[in-house]
Amino acid sequence: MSSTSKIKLFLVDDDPIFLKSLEIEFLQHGDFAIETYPTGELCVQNLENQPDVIILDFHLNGIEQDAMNGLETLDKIKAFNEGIPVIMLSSQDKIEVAVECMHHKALDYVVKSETAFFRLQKMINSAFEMKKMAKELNWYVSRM
Amino acid sequence: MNDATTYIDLSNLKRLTKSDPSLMMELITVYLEQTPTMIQVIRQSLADKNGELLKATIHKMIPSLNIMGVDPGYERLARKVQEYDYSKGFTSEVEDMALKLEQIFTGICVELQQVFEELQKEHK
Repeated sequence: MSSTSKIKLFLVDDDPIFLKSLEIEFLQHGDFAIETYPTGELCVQNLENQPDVIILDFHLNGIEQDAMNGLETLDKIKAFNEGIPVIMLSSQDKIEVAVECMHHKALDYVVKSETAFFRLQKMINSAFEMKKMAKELNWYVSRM
Repeated sequence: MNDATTYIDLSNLKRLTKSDPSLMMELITVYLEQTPTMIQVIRQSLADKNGELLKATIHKMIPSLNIMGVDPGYERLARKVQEYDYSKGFTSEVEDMALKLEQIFTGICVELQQVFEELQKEHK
């Protein structure tokens, strides 16, 4: 995690309304430093800003067909730093989409719905709990 | 504020923004900036009988329906158009559904514009 106590979150979606609504929810419910990006290209260009977690739309090239899609963006993020947890978002609840996301090393897959924010929040908390536990475990192991 | 609308129910928007008028106006502005362009794309995809473009456009518009508190029945109609099997061709059935959606999205914009103006008046 970054040196500050805030979790640095990248939100990537070409739907500005969903993007804005997620930003509002996260800012109201937790201590997050949020950066929003409407394209995968912009997200990748800003990875140097060291996000702690990325929430990424699966369909980034629905309308702009030349744009980088969600999976391509995910691959580039993982190539930059495999340790960044990426949660994929899609408005379609399809098993093929979920499986594809897992194959490309996404942490999880969330369907855009009324409960999406709460599920994202829970996943982020779990990811950081796991990170903390792993760190503690390493500390104990190093002293054995 | 007048809550008597046909297409939208403001309770979700109020919950999301904690009834903060500036946040409500910000979200409505984003919706009003994006949707007319998307309606144009729907029209174009209908004129070109381009099922893939229609599908992609509707796909992009579905999540904001819930945010704006649009009746779930309209969302179901949008999903039907999105999941339609366009390999059967651009049938009159899908054309009718898309035209209906175009009308719904236009109606949503009209109502949100009214809500925006009322919020603006109330919080000047």
